[in-house]
Amino acid sequence: MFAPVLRKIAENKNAYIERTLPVLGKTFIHSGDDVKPFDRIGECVYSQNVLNFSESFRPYKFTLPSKFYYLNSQLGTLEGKKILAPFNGTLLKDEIGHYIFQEAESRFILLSGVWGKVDKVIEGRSVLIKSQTTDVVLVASTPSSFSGELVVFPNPTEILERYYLESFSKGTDGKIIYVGHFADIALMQRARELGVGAVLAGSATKETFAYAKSNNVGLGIIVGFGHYETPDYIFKTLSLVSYRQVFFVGEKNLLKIPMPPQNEPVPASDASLNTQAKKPRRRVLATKYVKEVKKGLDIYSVQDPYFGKTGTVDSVLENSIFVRFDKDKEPVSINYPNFFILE
Amino acid sequence: MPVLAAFFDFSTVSIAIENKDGDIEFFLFPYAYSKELFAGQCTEDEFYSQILASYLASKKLKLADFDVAVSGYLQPPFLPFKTALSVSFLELINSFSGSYPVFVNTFSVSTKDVLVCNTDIKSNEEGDFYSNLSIYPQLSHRDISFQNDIDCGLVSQFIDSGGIVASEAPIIFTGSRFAHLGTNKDLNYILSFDMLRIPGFYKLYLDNGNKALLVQLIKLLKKDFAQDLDSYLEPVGTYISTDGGMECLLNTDIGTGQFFDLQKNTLFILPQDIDTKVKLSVKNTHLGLVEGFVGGGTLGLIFDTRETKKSIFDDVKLLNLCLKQLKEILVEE
Repeated sequence: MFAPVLRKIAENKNAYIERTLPVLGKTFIHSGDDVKPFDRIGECVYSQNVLNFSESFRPYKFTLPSKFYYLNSQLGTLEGKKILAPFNGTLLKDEIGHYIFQEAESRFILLSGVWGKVDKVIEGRSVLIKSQTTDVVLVASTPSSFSGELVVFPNPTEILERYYLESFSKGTDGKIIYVGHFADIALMQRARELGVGAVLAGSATKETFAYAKSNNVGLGIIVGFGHYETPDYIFKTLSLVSYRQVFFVGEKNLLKIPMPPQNEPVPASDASLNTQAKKPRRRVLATKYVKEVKKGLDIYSVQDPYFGKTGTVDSVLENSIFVRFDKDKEPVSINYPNFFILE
Repeated sequence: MPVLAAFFDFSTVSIAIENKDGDIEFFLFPYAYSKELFAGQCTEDEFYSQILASYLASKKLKLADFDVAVSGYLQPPFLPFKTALSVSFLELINSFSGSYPVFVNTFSVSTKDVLVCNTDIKSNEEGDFYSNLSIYPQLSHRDISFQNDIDCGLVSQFIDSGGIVASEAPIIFTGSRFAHLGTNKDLNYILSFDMLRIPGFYKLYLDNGNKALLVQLIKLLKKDFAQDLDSYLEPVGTYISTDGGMECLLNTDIGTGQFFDLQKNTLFILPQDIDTKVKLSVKNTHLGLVEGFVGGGTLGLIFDTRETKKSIFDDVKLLNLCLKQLKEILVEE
């Protein structure tokens, strides 16, 4: 009996990460330079936030062609409700008569975000860095790319997922959030309102995925469509790198987690990565994509109700295997081919 | 040189090799390449190359010892070695003569005349299932009623597009749908019955490993390949379909006869061994009197008297009747 080998988490020693300035600016480094995550590699000046108002917006003391408003001053009214300026900025009227409020230009510092060596620099625009990452394979993701700080919720129940999101709402803007086993439409709507960069979840429905895609909200699914739980070892991997800058690469179905080079001392906050007891499942890339199923191998099940769960092969029969998902419970029969060999 | 034939379906890889005695050995690998799962570790051609290499290594054989013929749904994958023959699925299915293949995989049905994909998603659960199928192509649903809904949607669109054209050639139901290890086997038979909506006599075969396609590939490469396709397939039996009730008279070789009258809107299975040939006379209002020698098979003779030829899946009473009869016959074996 042969089965494909599945690697949900893989080390990538030749990852190329592009760090880009949003507008033309300055780059401070050169090809061949070594960089660390908090190294400043570029800067630019631009308006970092823009608000587009609907037709029903009525500005307050507006004068053409534009007017400057201070933070928290009255900007206007929208359907009878007073709108205050969320930042210092300029209110403009576009060609079709709609109002746009642009934040005052401010300095944007581009940090490296990764450990590595600069491979190529396009002056004033972007920097390509050769780095090493741990890649988490997502089975489905919206085709957007986003980099930001990873926030990991502790696998709350569905009822509590939105509570956790609300509790963190002050700090979710521009972040990548692992919300738990399941992301529903209501949670995605709230994430969009809060400006979350991307949401990761064990599972979501097709409907939720379609919503995320059409509203340009990043969504990465770890197990599949429906209601499934994130495997423990993937959750542990994410937990260990919580608050680190990570890269959501939707087009490639990957979450890239920058890792320090082998001989680089890990910052104190990541010290637990070096602790053997807590070390997540990490495997070196091998060249075997298909293997014979044998007793003792770890498997990843896609058979309900064990969909997305990992276990160890206890015995191999002609058209099925017995798998021990819990060392304290009896092995369970999983039919061939409802599993993969896990590495 | 002996031939190695490979067919790359949506959810399976089927391989056939000619051995030293000229016989064919078959191998079914019930997985397919999934870009979502494997793109980070290997390309499609690396994946499939290793499957072929692993299988041959288990037999202590090498790829270089064979002429390789490949096809796939809808095209064979690009493989990093020389192949003696590489044909598209449509070329392959159109090359059949002497039999009428009906190819069914998880979401489509194809014949020489029709190719349809299932676009009838009835529920959110079904939508999630099809979405998961794009990630895990080998998935099957364990719930019989769920599988019924999927089969029903598939057949309905197939029939609307023309269905099976009346054919005197034996009908071979093939494709990964019938190779699927996880699907209830009784549903395979019911799916094949449901596709036959035009009154007539049909000799049915079920192919549980895309063997028909593999043998056809070998025949395309080796014109002198003389092995009979029938010997690799499961002979289901003879399917007798009429519009409405029928009177039947069976006469065996040894002179015994059996007369029975079938009411309209039923499906009756009469076990009949494959080696036994009987003379069957059928009388029906629309068909008139039809006589001929028919053979048996795993099931035997299957009589279908549905008047309006609605789907079996939509008629709970008829579906249960079929399942009950299948259970009795197949348990006996």
